[in-house]
Amino acid sequence: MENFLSEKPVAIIAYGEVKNQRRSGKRPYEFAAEVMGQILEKTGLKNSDIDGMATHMPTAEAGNTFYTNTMADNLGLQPRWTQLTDIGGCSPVGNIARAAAAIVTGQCEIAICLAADSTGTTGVGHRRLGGYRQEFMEPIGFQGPPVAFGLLSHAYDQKYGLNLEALGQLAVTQRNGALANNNAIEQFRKPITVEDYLGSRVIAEPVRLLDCVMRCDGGNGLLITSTERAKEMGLEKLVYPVAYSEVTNFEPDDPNPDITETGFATVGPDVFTKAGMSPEDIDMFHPYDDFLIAVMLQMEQIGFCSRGEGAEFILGTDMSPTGKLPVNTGGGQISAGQPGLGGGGVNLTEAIRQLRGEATDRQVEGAKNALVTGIGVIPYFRNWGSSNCMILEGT
Amino acid sequence: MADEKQNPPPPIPSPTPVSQPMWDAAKEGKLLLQVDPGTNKVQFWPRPVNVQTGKSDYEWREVSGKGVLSAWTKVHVPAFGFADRVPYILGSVDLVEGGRIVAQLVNVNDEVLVPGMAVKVTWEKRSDEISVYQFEPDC
Repeated sequence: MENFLSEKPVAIIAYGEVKNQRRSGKRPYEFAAEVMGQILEKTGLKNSDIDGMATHMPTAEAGNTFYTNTMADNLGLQPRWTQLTDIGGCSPVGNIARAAAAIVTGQCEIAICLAADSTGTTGVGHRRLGGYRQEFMEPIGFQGPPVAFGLLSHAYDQKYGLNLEALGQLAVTQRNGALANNNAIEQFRKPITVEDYLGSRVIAEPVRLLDCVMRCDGGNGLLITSTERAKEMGLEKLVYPVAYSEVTNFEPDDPNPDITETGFATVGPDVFTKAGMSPEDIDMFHPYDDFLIAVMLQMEQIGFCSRGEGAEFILGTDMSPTGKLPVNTGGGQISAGQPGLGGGGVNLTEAIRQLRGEATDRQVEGAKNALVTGIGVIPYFRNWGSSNCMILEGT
Repeated sequence: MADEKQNPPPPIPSPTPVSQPMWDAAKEGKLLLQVDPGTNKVQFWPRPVNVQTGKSDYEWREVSGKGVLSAWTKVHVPAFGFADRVPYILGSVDLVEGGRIVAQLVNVNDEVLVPGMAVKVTWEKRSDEISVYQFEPDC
């Protein structure tokens, strides 16, 4: 497929992020308003300048079949282009590609991409998930994502051997990021050790509490326009999406798939082909992290290392902000919190902040690009439902 | 009743027009699944199309209910309705005829489980209308 982003037709001109919170009592609209407020403050724009709006379906508003209109009305926006994306954790990164396509085809000029949810406040019990979830997963005791990742981890262990020390090391690296990130959820801003990881409560063997994200409330977002317009506006510190790849429902015709294989086997190589790059060219990696093993699988399948060698790669690579391959420098979602289905924006926002040189104590010096990813949806005992990769470049 | 309120029973699946034949057979202790007649590939869960063709040209076939265990997890934090069963084991079973079902493993201790272990279907009656598949060692 052609890479419509190769000539850098669009630029991310601003971002906003609210501190992740446990139970705020707020709704996604309030968080989106705070995010938009930060963006307007930074750019000097008015809400009436925004003519495109992309959102994702938040858990807290599941059941509101008019979410786009409700959001626009809450924010006083009159968009000429809208997009509601519901591919779970892939949605925030995916919305950049969708907004870029809308801008280059003249459907809008300045689009806001918003991610906001308050799953910490509402929980998930009010959702109505159709299809296999209610009929074939909940009645057998399929407790949720930890079970899916328990089965996946066991399959990985049989095939390659599961190294818990490596996952623990990853947990510690990300936690250190959260210590330096003021927007990380406050409960997680204390150091942990590999022993803490290994000793944490087992949820669904071998998945432990510190393997998992914790749902919370929060929001983040960004503003995107044509590069031409951004330069006319005299804005600096532009961040360019330069390549994107996405897949949903990986290999649906295989009734007995190898569940250790994911859509990253497709989108990882594809995004590098589109960018004319290879994994060695990547300065920072900001992978979607709902479970630690998901980060390791991405490293293997995107091509930072070979399959089965993720643990060795983690143990042998400094992934701190001063290391060879900085990973999730703000803590990722596992240590900064997962603001519901806006969680994908946590990794994404950190990448943008880094590329603008605004990551304070955890700034990766000299980083010119970042690879960001998304993971969406637990399917019926195949690997996750959606995978996407985007390469961002700074100015 | 107070106890029941504290530990509600497991959810009872609601059949759809597509899945109804499977649940009707389950009542009789039979495992009935959708199969692509062209490739004999089995699909689980029941869908409105044969995923091999994208058309509704699937056939319902009774399968043996026998398979091998491919992966499992011992669940310590229960799903809604499963608090009384903690810890319980969920296993992924690759059926002899092809296709894969995830279900509770019963009548077995997790210490004796091995990959590739032979298992067979058994049924847990949840209501007059619904029996839910489980698997147990086939020996």
